[in-house]
Amino acid sequence: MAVQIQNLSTFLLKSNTGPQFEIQPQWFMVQRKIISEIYPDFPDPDTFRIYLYLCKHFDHSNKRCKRSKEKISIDLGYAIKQPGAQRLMNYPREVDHALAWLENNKFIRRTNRNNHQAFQCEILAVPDFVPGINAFIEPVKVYHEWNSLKASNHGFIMAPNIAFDDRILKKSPSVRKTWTDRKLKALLMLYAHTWLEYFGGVDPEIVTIDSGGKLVISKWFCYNLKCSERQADDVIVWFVSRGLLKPVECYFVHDVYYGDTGRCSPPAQAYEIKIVLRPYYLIRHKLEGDLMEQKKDRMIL
Amino acid sequence: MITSTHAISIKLGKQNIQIQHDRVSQITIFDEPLEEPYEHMTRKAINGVPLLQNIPMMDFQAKIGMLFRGPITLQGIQLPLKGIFEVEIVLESSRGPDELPLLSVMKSVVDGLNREIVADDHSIYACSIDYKYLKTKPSLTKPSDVLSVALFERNGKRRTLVHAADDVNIYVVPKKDPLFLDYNNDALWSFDVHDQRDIIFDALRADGMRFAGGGPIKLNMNFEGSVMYKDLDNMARVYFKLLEKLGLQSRDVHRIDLAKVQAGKGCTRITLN
Repeated sequence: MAVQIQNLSTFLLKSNTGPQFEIQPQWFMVQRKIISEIYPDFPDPDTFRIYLYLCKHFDHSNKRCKRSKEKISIDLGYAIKQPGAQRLMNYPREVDHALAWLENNKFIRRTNRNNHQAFQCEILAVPDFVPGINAFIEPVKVYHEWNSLKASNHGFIMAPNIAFDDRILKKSPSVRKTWTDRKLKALLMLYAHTWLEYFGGVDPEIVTIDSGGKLVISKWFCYNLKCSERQADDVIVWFVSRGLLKPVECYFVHDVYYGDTGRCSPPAQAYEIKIVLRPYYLIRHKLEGDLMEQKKDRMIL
Repeated sequence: MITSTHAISIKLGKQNIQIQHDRVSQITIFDEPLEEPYEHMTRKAINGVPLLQNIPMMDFQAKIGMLFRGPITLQGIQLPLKGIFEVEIVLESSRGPDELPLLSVMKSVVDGLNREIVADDHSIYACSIDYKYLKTKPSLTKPSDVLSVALFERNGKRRTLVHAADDVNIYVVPKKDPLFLDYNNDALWSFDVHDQRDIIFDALRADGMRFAGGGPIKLNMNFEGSVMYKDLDNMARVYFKLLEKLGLQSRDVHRIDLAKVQAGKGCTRITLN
């Protein structure tokens, strides 16, 4: 049974009354492979979040993530530095375990020369998983770099840093309860399907709200999250209620986004009206460039 | 049923082409096989028009690539492979072939192997797909599709298994057309191959060829001629469309066998069982 969005009219964006979205230049890359019905989840919540954290702080210009264990531990709330202390006395076990797991399974490569130097690493192309032998295998000659990934048909997700702020990756029980693995994975997947020039937001084939106010989610999306439609519904409803996804009524011509109904007149060609979910946090460069030139003016932003 | 062979001759461009058919289940076209032209162009843009490939399809293809890349890399074999190959696909699903048109599923799987696993899909000389209806109550959190893909290398008359990904619980996404950004201009291309296919269709239809509905049907297509650099599935797509125009319903097709043979004389043989 599809879920009805309660009070859809209050969530539906009608027109610009001040900025409706937060547009930021910083974004990071996560490989799509990790969210899939044929790929295992990370062994625990710590490893998943620490991996996201490393991806977010990876510097593509020098291929390094220079975040020490101390910095990771403090940023993600695993440890607090006592006032006056020079450094952490011990690294939390979870952080050590997570980094060791990521290294052993070839998600990252340590780049500090020895144990006296602060931890730093390179993010690697996500290993292939071989179900028969339950093992991760490092792909040859592929790098965590967009051209390399594209050339070898490894998909990647571009997500705004601010949408995955360190605050939501923290260890605290209340944060973990709100920001479950499923929500983090769902948000990443939604960004994987956000193509503003083609859809004005998340691809309506993946998730949309029909004219009767019912949420329609593709089975494909649910299976990739390894969850039921009902569970996926709950996550999307939560994003909408928190304002992280904003429903916008849009014109589509030949299945391609034309503009928001509240911002432009109907197109001259035959068109359809669809409700698109537009993420609250958007990446600036996705709104720039030739393809967006015309459409940007027809968008509530 | 006793069937008799009918022969017709048609003019295709400057050439006269001979076609034999039996009005019910067999067509032989004595000409170089036609192929859909656009798959060899760059994926990013056709005629400079920006396009977006279907993301779930691309993702499905990436997963197919992964299922082969890991195990083959593990054997210490360098990818992509060069040689002559055959692919066998078995699809079991509680979804019907109307939702999973077999030729489009085959195309999607082969695209997943192309470049990453086999250097070029030209090098796939035979490909088959078999569909079985799966009568199980689908799980709420797992796809009901079960896919098996086997890749063989052909050495003369023998073939050896390179790798088989068996019984994978994966959500199958058939080949889909990309979205084009400039909807005013890009739907306008017309290709010679489609005109030629329509000429063949008109001649066959006029001579009494039509398929009765109903299935399940086993479809065989053999392509002979200068086919070394032609993709099996791109050739198959041309003739599948021809068969559809002659009354074949894609949902009735439960098995497809495609093969190509390099030969001096061009010929396309189509059989439905």
